[in-house]
Amino acid sequence: MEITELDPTFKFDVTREPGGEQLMRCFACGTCTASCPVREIDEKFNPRRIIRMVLLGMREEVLSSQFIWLCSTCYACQERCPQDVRITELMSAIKNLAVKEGHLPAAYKMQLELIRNMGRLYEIDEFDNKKRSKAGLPELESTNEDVKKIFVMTGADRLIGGEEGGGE
Amino acid sequence: MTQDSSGSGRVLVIGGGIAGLTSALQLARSGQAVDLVERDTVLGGHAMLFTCKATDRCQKCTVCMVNDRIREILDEPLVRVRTGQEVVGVERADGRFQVRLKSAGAPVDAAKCIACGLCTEECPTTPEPSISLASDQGMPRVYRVSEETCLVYLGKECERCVAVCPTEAIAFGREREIAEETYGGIIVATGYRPFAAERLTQYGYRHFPDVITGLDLEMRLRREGRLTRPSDGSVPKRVAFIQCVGSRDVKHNRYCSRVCCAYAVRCANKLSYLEPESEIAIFYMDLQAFGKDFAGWRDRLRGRVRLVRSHPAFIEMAPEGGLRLAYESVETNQIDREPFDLIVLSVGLCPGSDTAGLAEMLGIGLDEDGFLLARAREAGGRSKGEGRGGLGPDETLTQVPGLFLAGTCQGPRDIAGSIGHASAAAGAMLHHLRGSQLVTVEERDDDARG
Ligand SMILES: Cc1cc2nc3c(=O)[nH]c(=O)nc-3n(C[C@H](O)[C@H](O)[C@H](O)COP(=O)(O)OP(=O)(O)OC[C@H]3O[C@@H](n4cnc5c(N)ncnc54)[C@H](O)[C@@H]3O)c2cc1C
Ligand code: SF4
Ligand code: SF4
Ligand code: SF4
Repeated sequence: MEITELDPTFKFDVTREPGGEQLMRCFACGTCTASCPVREIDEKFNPRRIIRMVLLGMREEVLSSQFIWLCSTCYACQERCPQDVRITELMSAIKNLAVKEGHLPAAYKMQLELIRNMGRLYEIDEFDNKKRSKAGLPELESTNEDVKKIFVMTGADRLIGGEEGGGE
Repeated sequence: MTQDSSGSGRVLVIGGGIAGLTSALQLARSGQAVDLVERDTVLGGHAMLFTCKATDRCQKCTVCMVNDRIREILDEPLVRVRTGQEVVGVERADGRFQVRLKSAGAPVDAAKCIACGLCTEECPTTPEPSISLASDQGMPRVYRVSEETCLVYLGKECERCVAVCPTEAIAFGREREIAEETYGGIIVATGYRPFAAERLTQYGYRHFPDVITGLDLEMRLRREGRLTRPSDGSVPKRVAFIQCVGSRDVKHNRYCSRVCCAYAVRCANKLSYLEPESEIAIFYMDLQAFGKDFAGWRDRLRGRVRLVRSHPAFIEMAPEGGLRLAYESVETNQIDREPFDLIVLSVGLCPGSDTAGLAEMLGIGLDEDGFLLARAREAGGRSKGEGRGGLGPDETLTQVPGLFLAGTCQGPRDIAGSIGHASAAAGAMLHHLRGSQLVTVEERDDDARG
């Protein structure tokens, strides 16, 4: 990669994001990576390397990657990091920045659409409601207007609005 | 040499580790009478627990220096050694210190004990007798009772050692005597406490018997002359060292302890000399190479000791038994769970456990890490010269005139550094007693400017 493709302001954008404040403390010891259960099954995910990439200014590579979405927020790394980098929160900060810059992965976008439209992640149809009433449970609405309002209020609506969800 | 040449009375040195010994000796050699108060029954402090790290050649770990200093102190007529005592009160009036000293009430009277060992033979506790020589080479040579295992301390009847001692040196339930003394000045040399490795639960210290600390390693090597595993007494073939355990860790001690890279490297070197077949690895973040001959170690260890750049995440027990160390090699991006027979946690130096109480009694402060506060650092830190660990005399001054700091009670240092610092403290004390002003670098520069 060319040095001109590196963005020296990237790390500052991450530290400004809530949760990303402690980024610069990392001294690349590797404790987080060897603690991470995701890394153990998927070599593409390596929290120490992600932090290095941010510090180096690899904005596009990080924000458009699939791997930043793999963190399971288990906090194992954060608990052990000797520099208190708060890696789990940092991973959330990086994901938030990715979304802001239009890198919401398609799968998440679909999930958001389902939640906005129905208030839940899977569709309730007549068959479900029949089963429920047999069991003596009340019927469920197939849409939820309150959740739609929340989407508008929080701006989540705009992420899945008209256009394609941005630069994948 | 005249006793008390300055007319200010005796000087009190608190703590008989390498720093306190050095200050006391320097003062005595300049004609100043000194009381050296040590809480323990033997002199020497931590360095008395360590192993000589020589192979077929001296490796300059300086551990042996403390033995020489103790011998010199015991031969020095101007130094009164008061072991088994501690300072319980300090009052300052007219530039002098009224000090209350309390004997620790140890059952064995050091003045009477002739170190014959009859008590040890008589003691019924197993596997270790509860009364034994306080330290293999410690001086004065005196026996000590372990409060953890002695039947009397456990509330049972025994006192068989009392009956067998030919000089009637042993008595339980001794009164804790209080003595009052006046001193012209005090040097505090109360040392440090090693980091409590069990606080890092991911390494399982005290849970896995074959996970030991650097201090345990030093003591085992000193006692046995070789390294065996606590679990089964076998000689470990694969040994790992984890550096910076509790140091450079903002959740514990954020500072570098300055001694653990050096002792780990020298111990690894010694282990590979003792057992050339063994596979030894040091897991480090960066090797802090203090001292001018340290840099060459990397080359000297090549082919014998593996240096892995990584801070391991945790230690676990493998399903088939045996320890496994989980780490990422930062150079290859690979994670591993490597089996080891024994793992050493290279613990660093923390402020002594009663430092806060001591500071309050002496009327001085603590720095942000809990060490005793030197005056120069309190005045907004230094703009030039050494930081903590330097040898400048300003690092020995406190906000109380006539009260000076020596050695690791002020911050992490190795033995050589503690000796340098303690010599500076003795020099500052002599200046104080003789009424001359000690000029610090800052003051001199200020004078030149103003
Ligand atoms: C595992 C390990 C290995 C090390 N190996 C090396 C090495 O190979 N080479 C090297 O140069 N350095 C080594 N060091 C560092 C070395 O231990 C210190 O530099 C040195 O011991 C400091 O001496 P000191 O006199 O300041 O403190 P200490 O050795 O702690 O002595 C302080 C003394 O004061 C006494 N005391 C404390 N409080 C009171 C009180 N209130 N009243 C009376 N007495 C009191 C204590 O009982 C003690 O005897 C090692 C450190 C560790 C943890
Ligand atoms: S554990 Fe902390 S200091 Fe170490 S590499 Fe991970 S984030 Fe950086
Ligand atoms: S919080 Fe995320 S990055 Fe950290 S160990 Fe868990 S999955 Fe890995
Ligand atoms: S001396 Fe070495 S092991 Fe000790 S704290 Fe400093 S870097 Fe870590």
